[in-house]
Amino acid sequence: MRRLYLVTRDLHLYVGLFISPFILVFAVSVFYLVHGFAQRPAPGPLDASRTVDNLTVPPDIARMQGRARVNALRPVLDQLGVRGEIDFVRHLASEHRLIVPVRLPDRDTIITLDYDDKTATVTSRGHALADALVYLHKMPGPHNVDVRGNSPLMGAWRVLADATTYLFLFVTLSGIYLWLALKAERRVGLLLLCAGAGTVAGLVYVIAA
Amino acid sequence: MSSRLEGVVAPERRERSGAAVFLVWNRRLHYYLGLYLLFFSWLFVFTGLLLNHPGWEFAQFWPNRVQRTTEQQFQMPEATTDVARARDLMQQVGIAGEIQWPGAQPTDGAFAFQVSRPGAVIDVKADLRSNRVMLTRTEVNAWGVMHVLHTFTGMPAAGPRNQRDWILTTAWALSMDAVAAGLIFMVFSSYIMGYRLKAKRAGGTIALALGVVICGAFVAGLGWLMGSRPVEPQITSCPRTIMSPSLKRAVIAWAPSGMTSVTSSSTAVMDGAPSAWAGNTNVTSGMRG
Repeated sequence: MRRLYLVTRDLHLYVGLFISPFILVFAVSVFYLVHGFAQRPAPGPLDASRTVDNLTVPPDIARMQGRARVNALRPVLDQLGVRGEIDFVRHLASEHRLIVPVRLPDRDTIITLDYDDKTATVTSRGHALADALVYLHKMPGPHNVDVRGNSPLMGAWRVLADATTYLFLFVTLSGIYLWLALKAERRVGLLLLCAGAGTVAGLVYVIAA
Repeated sequence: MSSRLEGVVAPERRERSGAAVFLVWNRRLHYYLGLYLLFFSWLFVFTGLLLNHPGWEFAQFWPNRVQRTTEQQFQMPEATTDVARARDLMQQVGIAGEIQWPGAQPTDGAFAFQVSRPGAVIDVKADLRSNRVMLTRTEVNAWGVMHVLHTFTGMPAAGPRNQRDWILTTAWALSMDAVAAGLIFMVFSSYIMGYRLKAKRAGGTIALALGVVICGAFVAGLGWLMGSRPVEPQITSCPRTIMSPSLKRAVIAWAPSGMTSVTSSSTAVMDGAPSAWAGNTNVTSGMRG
């Protein structure tokens, strides 16, 4: 039992320290999300842009939909030197253009692709640390599921976000075991556990009932 | 102990006990907060998993929703503001929740808004001439409730008109703040406790450094590692757009070396895709369902 306690304590420490930066990302971004600071900012009037022509664009890009179109756009992004997660694709059929927002946690790029003329305009702007944290908190998320994870960045972050939650669950369970080993703290701990459970249950009941 | 030494020893004992008290309470608060916030944390962790995995069959809720429409009579509210009028109406018909305003009121003169709470969304359309209100209620199951609890802040992205206006939303938002603040405290208290364990300091430092490097790469480093760089710059000048001297200086300062000439078409981008910048999800690709 003592060995189990020591191993559990060590794992609780090491796993907790490893995931602590991820916990901080999610926790700090909560304040921005809860208090409405996470609005997507409009671009400033002096954002620089560049236009590139003679691009190689898949011939039937206009007819494609969903993930197929996103995958077909990746080589175009490579020609433009743009990296990141394609948020969505907006097709302006009458203008023969595709609007492609590409996102990194700390950078936003808009590509306006004229697939008939094979030209693209690229405008990019940086984001503050808070915006990066909020973006990572929300990703991958329940929206645009068909296209989400189209970049290596988002594929990796999806795995890390899941890993953080599972490791966090382990840390909580191991923490409960470590607390139970402290006989002197069992009564107070049990009171706090029941108080927390009651608070959650009560709030959820009045909000959702 | 002699009286001569007491004045020398006592302050040191007080300092040590101060630090010792701090360490004891740091440890206690770590597991007291952990125990109190345990079920909150589990709720947000589990609902976060649900949101990141919308394809999980067992947690489907939208196909199982129940919709029903009812009509009721109401007394004309005496309030002068829309929020007060809506609250009066909600009280009359027995509904409660967070009010969401549409982008524009209906053109037929009806007074319309939406009331939402975890588990139910009610569209309210009141005819102020006939004093009749139509309620379209959409209710979801427990999985739907859980989905909404994670994000129920009363602060939707659309429009400054929609602000938090229900006291229970404020209570839930404050609980989110409390959980976040508690977790941040627990992280820093764990750093102190980990540092105090000299035998584990090396391993703890490695674990922490690994987490910081990986997480930091995503937060800040990837933009630097993977930032936009033209692979084969083939840039033309576009005579249609006139660039102001200040804008031209800004573009030249930003443009990487090797570019022969640069066009400025930021106005065209903003005109062509303002909704993209505004986060509008009116998309033709990638929408679910």
